[in-house]
Amino acid sequence: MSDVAIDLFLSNFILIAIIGTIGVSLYGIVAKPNLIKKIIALTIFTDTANVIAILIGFRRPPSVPPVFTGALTRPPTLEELRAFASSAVDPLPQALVLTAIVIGMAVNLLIIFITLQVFRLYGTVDMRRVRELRG
Amino acid sequence: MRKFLIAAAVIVIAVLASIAATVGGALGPLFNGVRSLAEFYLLNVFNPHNQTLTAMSPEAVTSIVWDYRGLDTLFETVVFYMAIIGCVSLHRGIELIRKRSEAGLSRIVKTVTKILIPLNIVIAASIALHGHLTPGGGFQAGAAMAVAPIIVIVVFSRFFLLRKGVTKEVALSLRSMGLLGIALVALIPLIAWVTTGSAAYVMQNQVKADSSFSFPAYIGGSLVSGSLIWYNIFEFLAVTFGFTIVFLLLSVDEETVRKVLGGEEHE
Amino acid sequence: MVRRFVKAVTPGIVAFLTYVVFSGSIRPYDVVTGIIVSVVAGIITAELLVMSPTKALNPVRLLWLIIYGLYYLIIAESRAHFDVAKRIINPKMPIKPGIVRVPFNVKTDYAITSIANSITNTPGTVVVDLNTEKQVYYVHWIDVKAPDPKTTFEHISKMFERFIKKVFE
Repeated sequence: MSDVAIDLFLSNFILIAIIGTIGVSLYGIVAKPNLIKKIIALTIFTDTANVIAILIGFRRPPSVPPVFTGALTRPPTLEELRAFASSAVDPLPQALVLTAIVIGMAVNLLIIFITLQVFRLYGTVDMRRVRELRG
Repeated sequence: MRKFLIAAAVIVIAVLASIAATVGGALGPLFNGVRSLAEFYLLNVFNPHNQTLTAMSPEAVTSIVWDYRGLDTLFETVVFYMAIIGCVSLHRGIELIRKRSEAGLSRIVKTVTKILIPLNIVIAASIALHGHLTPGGGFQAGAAMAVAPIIVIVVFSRFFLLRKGVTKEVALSLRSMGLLGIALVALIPLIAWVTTGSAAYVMQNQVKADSSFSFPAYIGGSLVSGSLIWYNIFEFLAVTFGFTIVFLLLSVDEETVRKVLGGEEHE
Repeated sequence: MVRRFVKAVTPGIVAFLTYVVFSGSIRPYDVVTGIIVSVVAGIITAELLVMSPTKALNPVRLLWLIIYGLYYLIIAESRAHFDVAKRIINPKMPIKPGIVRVPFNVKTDYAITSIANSITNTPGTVVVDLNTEKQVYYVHWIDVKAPDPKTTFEHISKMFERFIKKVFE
């Protein structure tokens, strides 16, 4: 087993594990009748999608975070900037994931509030029973 | 046992599939470089030699969030606040009553929590105020700051928070102030366009090819990265109090809510 | 109002130090923003945190706090660690665990909390609960010598209380 093969295997394994997690969470969203379990599956789905986005922007070590760490009081020279640009990871997925996390959090809050309201009105969070009851 | 078998089967299938993908050469080596767009951002984010493309901030993520893709973030902020408005409107008619209450955990926990509150405030403020220099920013700082109301609600009870003046109305108005601040910073270039007559764009930060408007990148020799610091501060305010409202509403007890919800039909 | 500003001094200083340590740099930008933020944080939390501004600003109490810190970290901690380590290494494991009442004779929240945390943080003793009316802690003790209040006070919290009375009372 060469290093390259192990490397390839690990990359593939990460991707397949992520795809598997997405499958499991989608199954949870569709198949579980309990609204709380649906929410848990949905958060797992969101987080996995975010992991994929972060992974796309990853760069093999030696890499640095997308924060320029040189002197801030004087303007940086072009050489410093080129060295930074050729070693830092991709900042765009991180920015998109940041907004996705915040939106996800807000949407989760709203869903949780609606679930709470469903529970207060119907006394259950089981979708099969909510369907039969009438407020 | 059945669950264990299913989990084991999933892991074995994943390993076998990865081996198959490796042997079959389905995917080449990953993560060896970044896209040219990323190179552009990394090269220009703090590049005073290229005035028209830079954001004048060493932090690439914050620059993308509030400068390069600023309008995306603006509308994403709107989504966030629509969700909070949704939570508030689901709770319409429910009054947050104030009363004296000695509820809460023991005196030891209360004292330790009390000491943690100012530290929480300064740490969150530090994350917000260094958002353009180090990882962090308005959202993260707001999330860190929202820890303060939630621990106060858990340890002291929500009546304590209401008695100290952090009511739903106060939180709503401070949140709206944060949002207005963001809108104002986004529209300042237009105000400059009206008053001085030189072209400017909404959410513009530094000078552009056909616009000489620019937020000051340095104030008194310290790097503030133009508009980024202002966006971070106002976002910090807005996110903090947005979460405070939600926590206040989530802590309302069942009985009060049921009384309001069941009002017309159940009587 | 003036009283509130005086009260805000101590929390403000602590807040400023935390700000600088957390930011990890001390450029003019950090100092200016740090002062603004810690003034705001200090004024917000002054009424909550400080009961009497003269007590909070008294240098003698601060000195006693430092002495107590040194005593606690060097002597009390190492003695307790040594004791518990001895019990663990001993093949017979000579433990006699139980929950005992430990009385305290202090009034303020800070004093009660500091004694409780001092007891909890030394290995072998953990404060489980407290009763402020009866003025006792309920402490889980690894080696109960005798359950009467006098013995427990003597063995567990006498030295802590002596120092903490000088700091907070």
